[in-house]
Amino acid sequence: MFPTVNQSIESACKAIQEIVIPGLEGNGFAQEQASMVLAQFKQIADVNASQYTYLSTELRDTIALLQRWEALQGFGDQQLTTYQQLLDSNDDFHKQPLGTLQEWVVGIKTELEQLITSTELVEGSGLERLLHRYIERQLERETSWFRLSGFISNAGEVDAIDVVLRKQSESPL
Amino acid sequence: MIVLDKRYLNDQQIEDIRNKYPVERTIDEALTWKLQRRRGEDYALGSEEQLFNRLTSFLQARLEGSVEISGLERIAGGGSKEMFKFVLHHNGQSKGLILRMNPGEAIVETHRLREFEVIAAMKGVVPVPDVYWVDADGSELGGGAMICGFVDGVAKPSEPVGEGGAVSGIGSGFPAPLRAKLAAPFVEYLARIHQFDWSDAELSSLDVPKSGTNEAALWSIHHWSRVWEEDSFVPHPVIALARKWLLDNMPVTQEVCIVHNDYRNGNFMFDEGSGEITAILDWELARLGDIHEDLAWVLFPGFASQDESGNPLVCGLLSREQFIEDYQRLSGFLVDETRLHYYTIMNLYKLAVLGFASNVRAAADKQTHLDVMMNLSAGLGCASLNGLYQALCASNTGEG
Repeated sequence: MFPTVNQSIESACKAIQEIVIPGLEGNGFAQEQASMVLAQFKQIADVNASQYTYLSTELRDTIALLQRWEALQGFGDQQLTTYQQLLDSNDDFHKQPLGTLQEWVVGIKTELEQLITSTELVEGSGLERLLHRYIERQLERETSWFRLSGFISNAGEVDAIDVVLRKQSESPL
Repeated sequence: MIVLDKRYLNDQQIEDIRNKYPVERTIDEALTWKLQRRRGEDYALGSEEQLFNRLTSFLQARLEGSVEISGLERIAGGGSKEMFKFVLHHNGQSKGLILRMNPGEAIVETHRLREFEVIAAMKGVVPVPDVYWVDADGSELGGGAMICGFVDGVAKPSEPVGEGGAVSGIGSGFPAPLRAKLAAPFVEYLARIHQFDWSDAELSSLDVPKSGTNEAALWSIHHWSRVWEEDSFVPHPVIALARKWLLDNMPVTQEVCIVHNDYRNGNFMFDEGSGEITAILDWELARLGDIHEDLAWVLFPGFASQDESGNPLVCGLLSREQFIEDYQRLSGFLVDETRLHYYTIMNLYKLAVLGFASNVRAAADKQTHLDVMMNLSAGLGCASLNGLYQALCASNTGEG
């Protein structure tokens, strides 16, 4: 389908850069906003195609973590309804619309947060090591997602999100 | 799993959050106003005519004689509040003033009365803008606001060193001759803030944590945990781990001092020619607490830049060792590395909450005049979460 999303974004960036910003000379506030719109477009172009895969990866990682958590330590009294629902779906969640995936990510991460809060993690234990690996994978995804935000140091050395997601898919948690 | 729609929390849900996280009275007030206001319309930039009329009425109610304003104009810059400059004409005199006003929401939700009172108390202690009037609840000006004097100077050098400083002066570096002039007063003014005897100052909007207890730390954990609960979209495992660690390791505050809470490059004005600091700005997060909260903030690597040899400089001005040595000598306080590490984690927690929750929420609910910047600055939250995770790991391995 043409023009692609990224082509449309690049055209918008060009217009902002070459026409809008110079045309706003004398209005500092508007010029500042236009520069940020430009930066935002560039960031969107960098990640746009990966939004769905990103959420799928979040779900897969969290399910994998909780499966191991359950096997190693159990969940105590806690009911993990979203986790159970996702397990029952037999990995069919990747056929669902984006909005549904987003709701599931919120649900399952809320359950994980409650587990972390209520569990005394033994230092150096298998569960703690696993949780740390899970966190490091999440931070790697987030850092890549925001690499063009202007806040990530050495952004030029950070892999693009599609590369990170592919790498993580080839090497599951 | 029932997920709360945080844009439209009902009164009972707001009450539940308030009870779960006890915070200072005026912090509670500001955060509660935020949640109530969020239930309303999307925020829209008001017309200049409307603001002109409100501002004129506001000033007429406080000044005798003829009152007029002119040159009302929005100012660029500023990371959270709407800023305007204008000229007040009163009884034949003209004066340039600044109006600092809350939008619907901001990256950080604060109470204008706290900021107003602390700046007024600091007059004569360190250079600050003159403050004149405050409309804390926004009932007259349309948003919580205060009016202060215009300060000469710049917040970052015209030829900054390094790549930082683009957003709110964070990480801006200074040319060597300039930092040679700025470094000493930068440390001296922080020492003066901490040495200030606040007991007789008019600071009724601030609650006082008990010295010799961990109340100062606990209030801060409650504050930022409440903000996370109100603003976040999705839980984060690093936030959960950090909250546990902070509660398990709360230090005792020996002496309760005024803490600026955002003391860094970009938050002071200076004269580029003389190198004189003309004003310390952005007091909105100031509180009574532990000096290490400020010291850890100043020493935060995210605010640093490098000298010509690549050595890191605290807030772009001086080495860490020099900063600590000078601060201890000038303030009379000893820097405690354990407390410093604790407040490093507290500050990263705070930055992660603001960067990953509050700004994204404000933009999603269309509550600011800087929605695009709010979205982009989720990158700040991401960088802070990385730093927070590393600091927590260092604590566990005894390297903190």
